Amino acid sequence: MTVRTRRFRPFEGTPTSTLTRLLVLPRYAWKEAFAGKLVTGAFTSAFLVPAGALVLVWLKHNIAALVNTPFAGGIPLPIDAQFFGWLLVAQSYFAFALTLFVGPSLVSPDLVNGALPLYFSRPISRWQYVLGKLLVLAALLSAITWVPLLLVFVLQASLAESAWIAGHAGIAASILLGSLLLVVFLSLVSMAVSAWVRNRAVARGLLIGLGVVPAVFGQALNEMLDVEWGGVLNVGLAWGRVLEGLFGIPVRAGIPLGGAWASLLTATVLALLLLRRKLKAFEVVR
Amino acid sequence: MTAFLELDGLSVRLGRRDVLRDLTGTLAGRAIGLLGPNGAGKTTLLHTLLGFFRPSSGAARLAGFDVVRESREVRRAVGYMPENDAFVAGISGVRTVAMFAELSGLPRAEALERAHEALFSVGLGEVRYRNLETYSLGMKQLAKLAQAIAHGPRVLFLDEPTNGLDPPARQRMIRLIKEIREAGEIRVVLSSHLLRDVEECCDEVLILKDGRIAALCDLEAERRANRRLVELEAVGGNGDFAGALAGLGCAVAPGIRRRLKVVLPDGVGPRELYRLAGESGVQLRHLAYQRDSLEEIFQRAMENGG
Repeated sequence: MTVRTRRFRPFEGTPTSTLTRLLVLPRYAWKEAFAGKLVTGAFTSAFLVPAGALVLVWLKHNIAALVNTPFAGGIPLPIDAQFFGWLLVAQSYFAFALTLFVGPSLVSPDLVNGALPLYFSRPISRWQYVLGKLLVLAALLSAITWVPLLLVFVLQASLAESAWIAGHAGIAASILLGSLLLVVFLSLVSMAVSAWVRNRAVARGLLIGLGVVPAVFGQALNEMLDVEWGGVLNVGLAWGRVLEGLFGIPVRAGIPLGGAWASLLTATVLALLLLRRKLKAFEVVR
Repeated sequence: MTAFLELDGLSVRLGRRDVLRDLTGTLAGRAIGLLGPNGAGKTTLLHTLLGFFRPSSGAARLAGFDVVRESREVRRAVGYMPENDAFVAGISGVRTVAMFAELSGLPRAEALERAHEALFSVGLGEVRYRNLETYSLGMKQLAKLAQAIAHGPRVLFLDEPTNGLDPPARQRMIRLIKEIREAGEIRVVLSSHLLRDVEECCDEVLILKDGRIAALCDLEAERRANRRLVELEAVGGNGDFAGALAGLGCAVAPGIRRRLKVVLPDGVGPRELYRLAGESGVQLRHLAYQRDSLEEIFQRAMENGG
């Protein structure tokens, strides 16, 4: 690098588009997300289940490869909606683990280090900032949820008879809808919690707590009032009930499907409101 | 010079407190100083111009853009160096500056080139690959300046830029601000409670007190006026040096310790005074321009304004 003369010149070119500016945030935050080995490890291991599913689907349609194995007669596992539902259940655990590692590191350092005024003095809005940061988690979680699951679906569809496709076409939509809900819910809640507590470790603890404490409270309500709707406070149960609705997997959550959707969507909206309140260039001291 | 900051009855209410009240004025200087005691509303004014706070009434235009309706254009035109510690953790100085330049609308390659350039400009070229959290306080201040100028703004907002700096670092910061001003491409708005910083860097000053404009003055005009007002001590001669000065067109008034306060007319400078003294057989033992004008203006504003 040559030693440069001091020049203070205005930028005369054409400014980049809003979309280009929006994508700047995830591009710079992406490398940070993979700074720790734990994240890389968790991300890599999240592909084990889909990889196993791919192998399973291939073997189910290539019985010749199973000669001299206990499954020489075929694999007694139907590839149906429930199969994909259980895959998404498995992937949601990995998604939660990745969210714990990555989510809190997206926003809280900016708040702690006073970086928000630097962002918001640029031609980007608060919601573009949120969206830019959310895209990091969205990309990460998409890579381990709907992308591999759709790959499994496509492999199954390509190997199975056309009757299977006709009978199971809705699975692809269920995978997309369920994954989208999971990605948005986890991303926004983790960002909101980290914006609130401004500390990565505390945010991680709180995210785990948010999964446990309301669930215990809901269970207590059920016991005291002899009802079942207390289960809507249990995020895990609500998620399971949504998957039951989408894929028909038996969860026996004891809460109505509408209540489960409402529970997750309410938490998402609350996260948005919290982000709106916390992500400001400057706090006004009243 | 055309006006680039116009305030039209601008008021800002935060919570239940009126922080800015009915600010009205037009500023056109290359470098504008916002002066006032702590809590006067300087930072709130900058934040309102940046769109962080919405005016409760009135309007403001910066570089021709309405700060509410055209906030995005305003923020594209402004480079902002905040008062408090502000950095992005985990990435190097050059990546930080490049990222903010890209967020201001510069293409990736140009942003990176300008990031290097800006960091060299402020004297952080050698440490530009280090993470910002490892910088000292003075270096962080300079890095904040670098991110504010890298995208080539038309206006630069500097909020207490010399805060926490030791004297050499302060001198360096002041020198950089002067260089930016002298380059003539960027207008500077400098908020400070330090009279010296504003006096050294600015040619126009807006003094705030309790959220109101206490004074709005053109420092350049004041300086020009001050260059007309000298204090001198004359010894010897036939005792009518004051009369000889009046003959040159000067207004003369007696000062303390036998000194004279002289207002020079146009076309008369120190050279003419020395020539007259020589002709009158008078020794000029003291000749000085009026000083500390901003301090006097500030004191007057604090006593009368608000």
